[in-house]
Amino acid sequence: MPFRRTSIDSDQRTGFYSPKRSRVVGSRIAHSISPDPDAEAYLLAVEAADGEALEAGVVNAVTDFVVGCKSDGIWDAVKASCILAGARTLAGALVPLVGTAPTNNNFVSGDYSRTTGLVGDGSTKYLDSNRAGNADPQDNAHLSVYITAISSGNPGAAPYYISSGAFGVGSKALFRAYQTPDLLAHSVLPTANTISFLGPNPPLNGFFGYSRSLAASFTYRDSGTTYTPSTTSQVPTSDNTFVLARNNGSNVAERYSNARISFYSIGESLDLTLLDNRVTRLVNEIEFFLNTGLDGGGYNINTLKYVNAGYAAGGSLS
Amino acid sequence: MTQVLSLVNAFDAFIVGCIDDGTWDSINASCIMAGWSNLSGALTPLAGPQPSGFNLASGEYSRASGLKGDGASMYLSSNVKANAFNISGLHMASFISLSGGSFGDALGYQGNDSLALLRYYSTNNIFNGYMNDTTLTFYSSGVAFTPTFYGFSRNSNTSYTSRVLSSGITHTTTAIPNTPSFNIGVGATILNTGLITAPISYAISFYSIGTPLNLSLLDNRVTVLMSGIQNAIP
Repeated sequence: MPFRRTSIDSDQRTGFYSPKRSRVVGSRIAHSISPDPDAEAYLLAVEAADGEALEAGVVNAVTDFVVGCKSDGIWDAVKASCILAGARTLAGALVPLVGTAPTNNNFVSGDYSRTTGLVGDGSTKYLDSNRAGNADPQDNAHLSVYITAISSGNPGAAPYYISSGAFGVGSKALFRAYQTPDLLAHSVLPTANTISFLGPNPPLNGFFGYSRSLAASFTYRDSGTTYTPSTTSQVPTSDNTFVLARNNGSNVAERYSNARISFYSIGESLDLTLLDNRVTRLVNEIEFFLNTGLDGGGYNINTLKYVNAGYAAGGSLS
Repeated sequence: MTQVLSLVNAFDAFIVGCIDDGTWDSINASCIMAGWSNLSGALTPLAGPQPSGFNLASGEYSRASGLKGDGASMYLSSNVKANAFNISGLHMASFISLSGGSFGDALGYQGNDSLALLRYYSTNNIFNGYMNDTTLTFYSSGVAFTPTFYGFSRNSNTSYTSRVLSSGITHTTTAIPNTPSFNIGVGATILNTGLITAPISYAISFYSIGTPLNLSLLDNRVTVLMSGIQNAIP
């Protein structure tokens, strides 16, 4: 049964914790309303890491996402992923939605925001996803991130959002290209060491991903547009996939990013537009709830984005 | 919480309504300049680029009635260039929430060859202006002021429609090609010299700029939106 809230009823919109939708687990209260077992397991793990129950608005946003991805037929392609928003703590944010937990390298609690995600420092901080670049087949793979602040400044080299391989054969990466003296458009290494970048410069915040299901071409989606360049795939590197830095080929981080991201996923090929829609909705529902105290589930995505932008600018509706 | 809920519901009903009406994609730049706690929220773009404020004072913003001009130097640049649209493919719209002062332009630009502006004379309740032409056209005259949607839309070289005080009129004027590469003003007309003219002393609480659309449909949505905001603010 789909987990949807279509009513405009104010009780459902407020998203505050409802005792009748809770249960006692051990000595604490945990949510128990998610009808989806994968969402339920994830949310309980986040609450355990946080040491506190999540609000219903966050629970509902995550449940919507998982149920929606399953409905779209893309859920099984996601093999490693973290929602880097919504959780109350950094530890909660690093609980994997799917797959192996990432290894935290130098992030501290101050680097994490419940609304906008995890920010890099461009010099020392990154996640090791602990998923090897060749864990997914050569012509059946994807990477994605949701960016709330693009890589910026003048790092002297291209900063990477997510990467396996250091521009060698079979590299997979999403990054921002660099040519002295400036950063350029968002760029992709699509299971090959041939760079593609067709999007705007500067890029926009939002979903950025690539997916390959063919040997001869791949798709990538950046700033709301999908591109389909022809680049022949190569045997993928076995390097672990790093987040907010590049794996140099010897499991050492380099090309750190100062971007802020609120989601990443690694896995098999999928429809990037569908994933974009789900991830964009997820992060905006979470941010909307944390801004307004209202459950975002029944609102149009344009409403969520508009209200969140107003709060980000310093406004309030209270 | 009730206020937040009411405001969000008003925004959502407007957006979903415009999508249902088929007008949403024609709104290429817009701000809802009411409901928000401060100017920063009010100048958050609903669509398109963030406007730039010139000589704005926070005291000129009201959550219920929007942005009131000073009749001198205060205005917004929409950051939408007038030549971003085809000469016969433009709409500009506003919501005037409070009368005041003598006259001013809710939106406008004036190029070398033609101009487009929405002018309102508070002193005698005259609404007139130009729409990518050089023919001064009256949209309403002498009808008592009430808060109103005010806009026009041109999708033809030979005619366009205006709408104010819930009344729509089709005007026969010829669009004159123009290539102004400067921005459309909000709360004043921006001239090709970079200066402004006709800064408002009245208040506006909504504007939109974009491709042609059905003004009656947009009027209905904007009017309901403004009513919802008014009702939500104590």
